[in-house]
Amino acid sequence: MDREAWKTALQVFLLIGVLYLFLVSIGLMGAAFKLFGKGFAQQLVETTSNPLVGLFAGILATTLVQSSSTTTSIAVGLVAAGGLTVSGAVPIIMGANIGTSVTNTLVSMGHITRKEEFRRALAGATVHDFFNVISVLILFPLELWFGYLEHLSQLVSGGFVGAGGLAFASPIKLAVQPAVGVVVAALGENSTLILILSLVMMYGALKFLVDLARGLVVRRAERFLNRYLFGAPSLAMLFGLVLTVMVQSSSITTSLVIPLVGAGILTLEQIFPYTLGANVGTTVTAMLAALSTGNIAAVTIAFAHLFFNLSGILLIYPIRVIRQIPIRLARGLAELTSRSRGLAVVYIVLVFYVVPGVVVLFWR
Amino acid sequence: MLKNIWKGKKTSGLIYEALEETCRMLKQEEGMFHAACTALLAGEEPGVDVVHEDEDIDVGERMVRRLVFEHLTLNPDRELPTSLVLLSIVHDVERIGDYTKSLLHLSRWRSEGFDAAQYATACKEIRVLIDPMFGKALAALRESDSTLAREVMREHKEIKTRTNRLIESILQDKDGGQANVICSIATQFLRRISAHLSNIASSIANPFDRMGGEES
Repeated sequence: MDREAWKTALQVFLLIGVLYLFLVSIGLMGAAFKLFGKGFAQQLVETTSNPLVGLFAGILATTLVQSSSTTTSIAVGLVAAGGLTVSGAVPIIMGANIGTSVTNTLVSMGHITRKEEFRRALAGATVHDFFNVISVLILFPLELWFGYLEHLSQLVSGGFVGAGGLAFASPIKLAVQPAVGVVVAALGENSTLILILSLVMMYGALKFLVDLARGLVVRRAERFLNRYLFGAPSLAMLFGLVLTVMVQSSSITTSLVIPLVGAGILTLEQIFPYTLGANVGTTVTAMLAALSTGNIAAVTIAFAHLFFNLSGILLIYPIRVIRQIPIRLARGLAELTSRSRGLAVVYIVLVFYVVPGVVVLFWR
Repeated sequence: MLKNIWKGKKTSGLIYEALEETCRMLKQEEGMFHAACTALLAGEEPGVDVVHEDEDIDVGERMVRRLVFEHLTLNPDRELPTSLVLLSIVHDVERIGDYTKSLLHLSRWRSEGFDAAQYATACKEIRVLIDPMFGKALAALRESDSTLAREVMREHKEIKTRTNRLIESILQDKDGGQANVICSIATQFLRRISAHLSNIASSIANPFDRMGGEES
């Protein structure tokens, strides 16, 4: 084996190790909440019982940690531990979807000194924002009134268990549980310590996982990017999905194309399906986390994340007139902010930080 | 530096594709140059649609730029010097296409008496010197052969001296007619083509900051 092959092998080995650590962190979170007791879980459930607060908490949390995978994994961990109901977690997942689009919007700010380039880059970034916001505007009321995502997800996740069961035999859980047991015992079953360790471990593991996967995948993906992004929209969507599954971060995949949009190499219409594919691809992290818990409610939430994104695509993408709405809104906002570029900063601060922060602080 | 790209064609991705496209463009220009010179200096049908092929060269340049940009967006820390060199090379390749097209346009003004013109023979001799430079520059690019690249640069130096002398002579000739004007402009175009071929070669033989300069 040459040096490059050894390097790749080491990266793959590290990737598996870090993925394992991430799954252990989910298990540790569950263990911590179990140790906190039922009263604590009850308190948590009550705190997130307002769906609107849940939605904005999802936006704020994701914006602050710049990772929807972290937010959705925490939600999955909390649901598995009984600290969050499925209906309480769905709005958080929706919020995480909106929050994750802040990263590529921030990336587009790198073009702020060149007006034309900035206009194109910001439109490329905010088309993701507008798609997610429109999806939430449609699906959030549907969820409130009919429990659309919850019922659909429960129906599908029911296939994972025998009749009436709340847990299922997950091979991932079997692999993770011994390590969780060792750490819990090593920390003397101190719930606070275990929770802090699980959160730090989850954040660190996800960050490292994404960096490693990016190094492994993106370099090799450049030929495919060139081939698929300029091809049929369905291929671009599939490419966005596969790339995001591989790098475990939609922020990475959507941010990658922003400079290309800014330079005018890619159009908004070309990257839109790719962005939607990335939205679906990012749900794999929550699914992995859910499978590691062996808890059916956690799997339900992971499916809710998947169905939310799939429903959004089915509602918005197929009909041209509707598909044009996020594209036109993104172009409109970019046009406006390119004339007064300070408005772009106001947009980011208001939408991703101030409004969610105010709602969470004063409405909970 | 280009050698690594050819060697690792599977891993170099878009940069490999960009380099391959650049070489294809240069090869295509060899035929265009031959056709344009045949039309201008021999008064025969070019046999190649030089104008259309020049448009193809322009498309090729845009494609190379796009490939390099995409590569740098995805992998900013990989093959950065090669990417910058390629952008410089492809610009030279594009300019050669333009001058070749200009040679063809000049052939429209060619009259019956051109062959008998005093300086036409000198122009033909310069064209003969430039012809093999295409193959050498391409081979130097493909093989990262700095010896061959230096040879191209030296040949350009010789052509530069000859063209300067020729233009001077034409300008001093008070009895010059239309044929002399054509010869003067053609010499200038031939000199530019030779200079751009030398620039391409210099990207292999010279350090990055001295690309386009004389042999170092």
